Amino acid sequence: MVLPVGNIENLLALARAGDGTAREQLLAECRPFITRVTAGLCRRHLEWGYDDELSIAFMAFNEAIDRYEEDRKVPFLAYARLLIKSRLTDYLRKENRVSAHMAGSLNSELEEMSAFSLESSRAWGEYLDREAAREREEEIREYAAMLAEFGISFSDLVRCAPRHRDARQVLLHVSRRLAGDGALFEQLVRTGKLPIKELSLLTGVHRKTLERGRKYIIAMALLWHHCQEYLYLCHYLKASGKGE
Amino acid sequence: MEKVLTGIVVEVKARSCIILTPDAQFREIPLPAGGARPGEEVSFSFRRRPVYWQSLLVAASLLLILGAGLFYRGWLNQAVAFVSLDINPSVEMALDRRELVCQARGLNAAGKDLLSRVPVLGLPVEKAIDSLLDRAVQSRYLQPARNNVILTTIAAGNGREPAPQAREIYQVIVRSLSSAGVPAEVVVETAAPEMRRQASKLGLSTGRYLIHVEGKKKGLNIGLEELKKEKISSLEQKKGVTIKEVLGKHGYSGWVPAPKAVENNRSLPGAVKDTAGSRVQERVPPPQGKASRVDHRSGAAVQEPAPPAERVTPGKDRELPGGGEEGAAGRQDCARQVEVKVENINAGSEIEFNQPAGRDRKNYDNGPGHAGAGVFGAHFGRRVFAGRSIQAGYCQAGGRVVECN
Repeated sequence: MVLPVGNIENLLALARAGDGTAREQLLAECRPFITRVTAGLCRRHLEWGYDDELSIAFMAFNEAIDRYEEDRKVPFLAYARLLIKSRLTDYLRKENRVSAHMAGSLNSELEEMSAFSLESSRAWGEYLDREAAREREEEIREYAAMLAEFGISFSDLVRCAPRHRDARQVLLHVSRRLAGDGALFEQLVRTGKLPIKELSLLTGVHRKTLERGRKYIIAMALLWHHCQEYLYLCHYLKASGKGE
Repeated sequence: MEKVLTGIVVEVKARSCIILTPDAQFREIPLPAGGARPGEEVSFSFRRRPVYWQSLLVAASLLLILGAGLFYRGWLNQAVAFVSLDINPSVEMALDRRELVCQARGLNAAGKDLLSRVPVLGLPVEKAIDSLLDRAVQSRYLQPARNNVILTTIAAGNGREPAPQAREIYQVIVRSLSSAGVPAEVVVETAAPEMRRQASKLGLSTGRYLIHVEGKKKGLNIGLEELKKEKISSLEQKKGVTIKEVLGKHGYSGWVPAPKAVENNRSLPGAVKDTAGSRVQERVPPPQGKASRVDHRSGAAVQEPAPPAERVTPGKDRELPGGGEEGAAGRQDCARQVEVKVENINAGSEIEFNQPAGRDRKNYDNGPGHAGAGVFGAHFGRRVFAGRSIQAGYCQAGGRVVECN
């Protein structure tokens, strides 16, 4: 399921401006995200209403709406995730379950950081930058690994990504349609091949064009489809407004 | 046109990295200084690289042009021919490809002295010879009352480059001497590069060495020491030969009489001769081989031991087939020569002689004392010498010679 990231940004802006219903809507829409992030950190299945961790995460997310700094160049969801992580760490430490659950997943610096108040903005800022950089790097590594499954390397993309803006727009449009079309995307993942005939019918782009931009379309479709995992990359492409 | 490319680094290679730009382009750019980590946002300015290449290119082409220029200059200024001049001062000049004097050296004390007075470097060879002769007259190396001999040799530097034409050099000398009014025996010889090398090894001028070599062939014993010390004119007297006779092979030689002498020989000095009286036409068969190269002494022969003016056909002309003499109005083969002796010519006189129709319109001379042939259009030609007294000289038109005394 593709999360409508653009929608989230709209809601976020409204919520930050003080629109109560927008905030409600944003929180509701992001519940699956919160669940996934929290479950990932706790490494177990969590259920709303039973697990405190989810409540802590939910509150942290709510806090993130207010505290989000756009000029940090960190996407909102990534920011929220970092805040959730930090709050959960605090909570788990209190619950004396840090060592059991968090060993290895959090570094000592974070623990030290948590000892102090994260409100101290400079330290928080540094932490945020460092964590964001680390996450971004991780994300790219994952993305590269996923591309490798389809036999695509970044060097291939340098070669076959169209230089001309209009040509690129066409292929980006195709890749969005592919990412949004569940059946076609599923076919891509299953066969590892681009369903060129169907895409050509769907978008009206000539199959030769699709054939030439095959790797680029696949790479971009994967990115759009997994936008929630590749928060930084998606956000970066969207930031310019040209990725649309 | 600076284009900045910004993007997130997605892959780092040894010297470059691949970035993902906000407009979804994947680009490979050189690794920024200090390296980059994946996920980092980097900017790359496209300008630096082209500028670097451009300046390199410009520098390289400048160097190339400079190098080519220097090379060309060196090539131009390379000595390709040598002209040696033996008056009594012996001088040798090296000529570059433009026939400009690029080196000059005196081969004896007088030669050095002469060169120190006449700046010849950088002058065209004709001009250099002209000024050297002028100076030689002024310095009294050449005197009207003496038996002057001017021996000139032209040697190619390595035989591959064209040396100046002996005929041109001869004309220059004749013209120069005529205007200076100094009588002299003029010999212009061409020499092989090897001759010149031998000569300079012995410290002789090429001309003098040539005398030695040719003299030996003819059974004359002319020692090298003699050649080094003696004037050529005194050598001539001593051995009783003329240089022309010794060398006379494939060069040009002739006698330039003093204008006064011509004047003195006239029965009525200062009188203007009847134009018709001075019109003489004569044809003689062309010289065939050495035997036929006889002196055609003019009636107005001047000083003793004044050798007669004679033109020895240059080597390449000799190769051309000669033919029998044709009638007076007959067409002449280019290779043949006809000498026309003209007597009693004075300022304003006219000479005329047969000229084959439609050939060799080119003017061969324009200096004083040369009967000209450039204006003949039809069967008969004529030339008016306006306001000049005629000295010995010749003109060559269609391979014939006009001799005026």
